[in-house]
Amino acid sequence: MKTEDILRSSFKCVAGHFANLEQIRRIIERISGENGSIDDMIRKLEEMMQDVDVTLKTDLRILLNEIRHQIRKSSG
Amino acid sequence: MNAFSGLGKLINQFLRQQSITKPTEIQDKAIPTILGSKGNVLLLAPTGSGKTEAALLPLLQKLYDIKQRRELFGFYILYITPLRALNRDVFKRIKNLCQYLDLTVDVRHGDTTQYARRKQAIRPPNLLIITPETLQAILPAKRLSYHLKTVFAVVVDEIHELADSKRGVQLSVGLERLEYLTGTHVQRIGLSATVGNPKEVARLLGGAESDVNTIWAGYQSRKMNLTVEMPTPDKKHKQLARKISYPPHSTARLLRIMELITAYNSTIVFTNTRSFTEVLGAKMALMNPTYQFDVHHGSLAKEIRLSAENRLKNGVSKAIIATSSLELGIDIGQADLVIQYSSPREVSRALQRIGRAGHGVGRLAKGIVLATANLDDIAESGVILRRALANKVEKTVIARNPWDVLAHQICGILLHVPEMQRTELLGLLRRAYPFSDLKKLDLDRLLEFMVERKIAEAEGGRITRGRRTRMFYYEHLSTIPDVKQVNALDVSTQSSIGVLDEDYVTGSLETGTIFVIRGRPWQVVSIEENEVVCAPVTDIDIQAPRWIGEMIPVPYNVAAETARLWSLVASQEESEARRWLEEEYRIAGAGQEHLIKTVALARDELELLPLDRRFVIENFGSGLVLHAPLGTKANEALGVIIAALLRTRIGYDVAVESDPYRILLTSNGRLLPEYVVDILHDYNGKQVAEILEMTVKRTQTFASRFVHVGRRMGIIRRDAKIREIPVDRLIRSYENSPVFDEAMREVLSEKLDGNLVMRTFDRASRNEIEIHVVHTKVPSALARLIVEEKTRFEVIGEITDEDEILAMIEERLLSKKFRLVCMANGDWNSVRTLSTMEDDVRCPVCNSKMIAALFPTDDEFVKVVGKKVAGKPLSKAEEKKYRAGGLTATLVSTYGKRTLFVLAGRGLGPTAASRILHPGLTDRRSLLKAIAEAEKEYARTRPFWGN
Repeated sequence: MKTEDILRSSFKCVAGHFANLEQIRRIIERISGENGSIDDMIRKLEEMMQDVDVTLKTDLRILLNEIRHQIRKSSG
Repeated sequence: MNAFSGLGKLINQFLRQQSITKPTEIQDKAIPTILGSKGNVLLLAPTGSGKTEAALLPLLQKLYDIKQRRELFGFYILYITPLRALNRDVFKRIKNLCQYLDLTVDVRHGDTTQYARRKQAIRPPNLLIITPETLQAILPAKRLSYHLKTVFAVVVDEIHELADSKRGVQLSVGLERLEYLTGTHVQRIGLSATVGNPKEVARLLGGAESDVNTIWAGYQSRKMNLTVEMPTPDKKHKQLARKISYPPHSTARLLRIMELITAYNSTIVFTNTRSFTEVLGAKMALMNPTYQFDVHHGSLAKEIRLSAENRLKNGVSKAIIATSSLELGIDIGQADLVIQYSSPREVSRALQRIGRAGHGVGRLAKGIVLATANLDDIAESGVILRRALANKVEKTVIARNPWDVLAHQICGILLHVPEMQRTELLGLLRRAYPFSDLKKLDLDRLLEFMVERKIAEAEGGRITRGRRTRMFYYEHLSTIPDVKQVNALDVSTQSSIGVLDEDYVTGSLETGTIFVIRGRPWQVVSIEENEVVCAPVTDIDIQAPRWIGEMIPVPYNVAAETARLWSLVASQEESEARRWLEEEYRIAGAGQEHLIKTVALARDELELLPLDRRFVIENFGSGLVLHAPLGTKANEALGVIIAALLRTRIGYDVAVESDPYRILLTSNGRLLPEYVVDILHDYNGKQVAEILEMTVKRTQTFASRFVHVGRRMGIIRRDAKIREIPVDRLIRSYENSPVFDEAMREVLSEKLDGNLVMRTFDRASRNEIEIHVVHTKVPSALARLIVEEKTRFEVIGEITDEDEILAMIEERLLSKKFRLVCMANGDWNSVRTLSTMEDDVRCPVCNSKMIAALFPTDDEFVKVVGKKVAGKPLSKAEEKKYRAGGLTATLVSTYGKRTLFVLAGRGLGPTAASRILHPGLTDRRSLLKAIAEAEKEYARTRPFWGN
């Protein structure tokens, strides 16, 4: 599964639970255009979590959780 | 090796630090089972046997193991209890262990602050302790529903408490929705001490098709010391009774309770009604006990209840007088005695209550039932204790297909998914046990109703959210009957003293009424929109608030065994009966004496004693008593049916009253016992079911239920006030709707036992029930229990209580003094005490019966009479005085001493006396009752009388 696909499918799965839907959508758009590996994407999202407010931090955490879940699912 | 060895090192270390080395019986069995499987489990063990830890230790071990594999983010274990107070206790019990394991735990319910809620949404606790309503609130919540996806286990504590109400039905669908959300199996663990039908409760917990492993433990080793006592008054009690305006039998019980409280370290006194809790508290306070105590019931403010719990726990108070508000496992420390005032009426209730004493592993539960001097009460108490010791708990009745819960849960499901096919929806709902036989046609009918109300939309097989789905869902999270409550406010401190049911406020309170709350009398100053403003008063004639429908029903099994006990006592040698009552039923002393005597008398009067297979119809002249020991709900239904059929036969209205053992029928028409025999023989179950339904829909009970269901199904605004709702019109327009059907189902199954009555008619029509007719001159000892109950003053007490109260009133009246003045000639003027007078009041000088009765201080009146007799003109004031005196004289000339009795009543003047007195009012008892009523009326209206 391509990095971009994992990102998009993870977003789709948990979009209903985000408090900052638009912001997360923009983040996904931005980082999926950067052509990195999935581990790079995860690192970037983790870095982003450092300086944002708690609500967005929880959104990012939910997204990261889902990405890891998708990876586990596709590898298992 | 024990069950703890299956737990990890850390948990074992923690347990050792707490000096816990040996698991309890339930822990020994449950821990390995839960650790070793993901299957659903129902744990049944006595109160205080460590069920919470039996469930949570293995689950926390599982969670700890997950934590070693990955970072935790989300809720993993949900712990559901029926009460917020229990949530707090479980939190306190488990937080140290969670901390030790570096796991997070928190509580969430209606009282949780916004800040704490926000924190939980950001950093979800691994173990979340909630009420069933909170689960409903968080299931569709945006952020929290994500956190729910990680849940692997749910514990439902005190499941019996939820199972027999709609809360349990709602929870069962809620658990299915949770599994739907997680997409995986969630292990369900139910905990209870008292379940009569574990198989059915297990299905409620695990779902219609699930296998649930039921584990019983600890009932054999449970230690209970139970007795029935009946305190009787001696001379000292009688003197005190006068002083505190309390019947002597009640005073004897009060003193016995105080004696027991003093002798033990910590006592819980349970009563059956909130109102009586208040009366007992008020009377105890009047006695200035040497110890501190509190009252505790559901109508008191939360802070007051918490303070009472803490005061007992910390040893500040020695006793707490409570209702069922303290039944469940709230931690109130180590009470060493439970006193049950009057029969607990149900075995499960007795076990829950007595289990509060010696709450803890291996401790002795000491319980005393203080029975009133009433055959039903003594025998029923003994039967309940026998059944409690044998663990014969009542079956929980789980509601099937309640439409209001179903409508709400469909909305909840539509909030998880924007649309769903009818067949898929039906499949999901049928997984919950209460809806396992839900028919497609019934679902379609309900959906049609929901579409009309815009809480769902339907297009062919596809169901989607309606405009009002979300709002309807969140406005109706709770299935607890929505009895509006009104705040009672102390006018002097402006602080809340408790809450009162709206029904009670509209029906029974008005400005000036005196009632009791928190053990103190208060007078209503004003009734505002949402509060009743009250002022404390120092009146010892206390009237307790009356909450409608709060009496606990006596189940059929208990009523039937109680009647069997009477028959067996009557058939045994007295010495044998005494031994048997003491050994089997724990009834000794005065209670035993009273029981044996009353049963013997009743047998002589009735020839045969009633049983569940032998009814006795007693014709005592002014009415009929059908002795049928079928329990509260069945007799309610039986009474309604028989009265309706008698009405059509004799063409007169028939009044009906029932208790668990008998039904009283009275009418202005001629009631013959043969009519009742015919009814029992001529109708079968199916026919009476129709009659019952037709009759029920015209009752106040149905109207009240209809309002509650209507509120839950969105046809009545939740904030609409009862007096503003056009109930009759609504009932007519919603007949044949799911709202009407649900209200009817509630009444027929929860308030009445329609099924048992149908079976009874079937049996009677096949002559399987013997019917014995007997004619008595006065009501028999068994009939008196209902005939005199009808006019009983107190909310409790034995049948002599009313006589005792009347005797006290009479004593007060007899001590009154009057100035008596002859109005014929003004030749007699004397101050006399009522007790010293003859029935016929005459002037000793001229023999005239025109005697004015005045206050002893009114020494001017004789001068007025003198002027009048002499033909002198009277001033306006004198004329008025003369007329008033004249009215009393007219009454005295007609009714004699009875007039003086009435005028001796508080606030009763000649006008009130002329309303009360009439030629037929000749017997002492009726006169005293009329005076008591008029005094109450005066107390209620006093503020409007001015000076």
